[in-house]
Amino acid sequence: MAILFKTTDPRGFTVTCFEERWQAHVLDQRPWMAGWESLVQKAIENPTLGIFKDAQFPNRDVYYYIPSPRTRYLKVIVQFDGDEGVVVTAIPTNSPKDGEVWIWPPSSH
Amino acid sequence: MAAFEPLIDPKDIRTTLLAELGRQTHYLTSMSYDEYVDALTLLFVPNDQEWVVHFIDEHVGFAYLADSLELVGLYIEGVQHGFLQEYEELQHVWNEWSQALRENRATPSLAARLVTEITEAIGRRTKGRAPDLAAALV
Repeated sequence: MAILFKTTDPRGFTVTCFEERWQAHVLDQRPWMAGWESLVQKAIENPTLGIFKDAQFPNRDVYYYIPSPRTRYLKVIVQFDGDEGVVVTAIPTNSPKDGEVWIWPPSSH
Repeated sequence: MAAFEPLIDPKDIRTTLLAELGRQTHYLTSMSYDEYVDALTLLFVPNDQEWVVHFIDEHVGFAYLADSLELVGLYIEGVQHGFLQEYEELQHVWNEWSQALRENRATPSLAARLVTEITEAIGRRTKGRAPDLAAALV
């Protein structure tokens, strides 16, 4: 599969975004997110609101970032196998979600 | 680190557009289920403008247009990981629709029934948490 980008999160974990998954799980669902790839990469590298454990999938982490304009958060879901992750999807949200547990930064617990 | 709270007060989400659509005999409804993500999107407008999700619980989010703050649909996460267990009344129609999809015999009327049952169930169950938004659905 072709790689859209590969980067590292603040914990040192590698996260890859594959073109095929970006198309199927982001653009096919929300075509107006074309061009948001760099924001998603920034969210993984610098999740300004932190990293959370997904409410439903124990192997998925959720990264929150505030893009400009500051009227919504960007939520990015990454699925991990060890310390290697792949981007599952991304979506703008207005709020955190019940059931998501804060895991990074650890000092903010 | 910035405080993590809603950036838009949910009371500012508008229901004018949905009320207007509700008065029309026919309007667009689109439904998309992404099995890998386990998320369902229901939209009552074309999916060509940015919309934002305001979650009200572990599964259910109201989708509103980023520019106008008009409520335009629903976004449900963890559909097969908790949502259908919580909304038992939807299990039957969901199973019927899933099976029809697998057998390539899903019809627009079955999809419409699923959309109606989901929106009405969410409208009923979320009255206490988001009364104005819930009322717009039922």
